[in-house]
Amino acid sequence: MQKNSKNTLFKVFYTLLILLVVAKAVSLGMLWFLPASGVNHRETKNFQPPFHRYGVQNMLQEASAAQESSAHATSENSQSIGITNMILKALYGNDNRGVVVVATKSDPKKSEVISLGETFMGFTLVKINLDSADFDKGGKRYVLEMEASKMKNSPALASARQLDPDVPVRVTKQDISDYARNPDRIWKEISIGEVKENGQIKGFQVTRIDPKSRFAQLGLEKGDLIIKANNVALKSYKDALDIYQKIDTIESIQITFLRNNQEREIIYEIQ
Amino acid sequence: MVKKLALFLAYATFFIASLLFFLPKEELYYLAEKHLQKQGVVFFDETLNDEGFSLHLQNLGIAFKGVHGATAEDVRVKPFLLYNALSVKELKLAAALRSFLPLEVEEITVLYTPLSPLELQATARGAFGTIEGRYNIVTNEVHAKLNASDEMQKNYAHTLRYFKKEPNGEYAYAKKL
Repeated sequence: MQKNSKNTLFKVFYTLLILLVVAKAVSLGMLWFLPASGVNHRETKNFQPPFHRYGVQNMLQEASAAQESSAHATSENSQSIGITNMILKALYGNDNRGVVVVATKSDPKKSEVISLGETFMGFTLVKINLDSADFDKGGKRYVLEMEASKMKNSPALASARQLDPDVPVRVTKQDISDYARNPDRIWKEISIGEVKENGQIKGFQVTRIDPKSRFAQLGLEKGDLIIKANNVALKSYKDALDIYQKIDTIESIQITFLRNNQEREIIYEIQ
Repeated sequence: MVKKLALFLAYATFFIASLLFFLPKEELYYLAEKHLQKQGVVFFDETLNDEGFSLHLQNLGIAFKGVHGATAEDVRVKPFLLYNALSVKELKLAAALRSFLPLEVEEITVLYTPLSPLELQATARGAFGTIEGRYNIVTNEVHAKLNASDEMQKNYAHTLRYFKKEPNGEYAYAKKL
C-alpha cells in the first residue's frame, strides 16, 4: 500500500518534471524565431546652421534713403506743427527700415510717404511699430498711432505687409507665450492639416483662418500650403514640431508657402 | 474517470503556467517593437525586466514618426493567454503636444482575451478625464467614449471637436484606421 503511494507520488513528480522540461524546450525553441534585440531609436538631430537673413538690396535702399532723408529733412524743418495735428494713415516695415504714410488733419487728403530718418513737419521718423510710428523732435519721442485702430485688423493692410519678402512681420514673444498658455485660442483662430503627395507629406495647409485673428494679420490665408520653415522642407510632423520647439530661441522664421500655386515667403521677426 | 480528468487539468494548468514562466518575454517584446516600427511607433530608452509571469518596463520613451510623443514611468505586460494585459502608469506626453491634450495620463490598460478574439479593449484615466475604447482587429475600427474632465472641456475644446457629444454628456469617437 505504502509502496503504491510512493509510486504514484513519483509518477506525478516525474510527469511534472517532464512537463517543465517540455515547457522550457518550447520556449527555447521560440528563441530561434524571435529577434535577439529591439529597435534602436536614433533621433535625427537637425545640424543645420542657424538661420540668418542678409538683404544686400535692403542695405543699399537704406543708404539711399538716409541720403534722401537728410535732404528732405532740411526742406521740411521750416514747417513745424504739433504731433496731434498729424494722421498716420499707413505703415510698412519695422524699426530698421520701411515707410509710413502721413498727412495733416488740416489737409488729410494730401498724404506724404516718408522713410525712416526722414522728417515730416519737423518730426523725424525713428521707428515703425505694429500699429504706430515713433517720431523724434528736439530730442523728445512722440508716438503717432494709426488713424483708426480698426485698421489694425484690416486684411488689406496685413497682406500688404507680409507679401513683400523683404519686409519682415514682427511677432512678439508675448504673443507666442499667450498662445502657448491658451492653446485653444490657436485652434479657434486657425486650422492646419497635412497635405500628402504620393504618400509623402508635401506641406501643411491652412484650412480655416479667422480673418480678424492675429494669424490673419501675420499674412496667412485659407488655402496657403506651408512647405518650408527657415529653408527646412516640412515633410513630416517632426520637421514642424522641431521648429515649434525652438520658437523660444530663434529670432526669425522664414515661412515659404504656396498660394495659388505660386511660391511666396513671409519673414517673421520674433522680438 | 473524474480523477483522471482532474489530474489532466492539473497537468495542463501546470504546463501552461510553466510555459508562461519560461516564455521569452523580452524577445517577444522585441518582435512587437519591430512590428510597431513599421507603423512609425518606436519605443526607446526602456529598461526591461522579465519578472517571471510578467514583463516590466521602466522609463519607456515613445516616438511616433520620429517625434518624441511620450514617456511612461512604469509599464507591465502580462501575457496570461486567456487574459493578456498591458498596463501603463504615469505616462507623460511630450511638451510639443501641449496644444492638443493635457500632458499627464495616470493609467492606461489594454486588454486582449481570446474569448473576444477580434477586439482589443482599452481604458485610460488622466487629466483629460476617462476614456474607454475598443479596436476591432479585422475591420480596423476604433470606437471610444470619453468622459471629459473640466480642464479638457475648458481648454481643449478644439480636440473635442473630433468627438461627437452624446446626450449623456459623453464624447464618442469612431474611426476606421
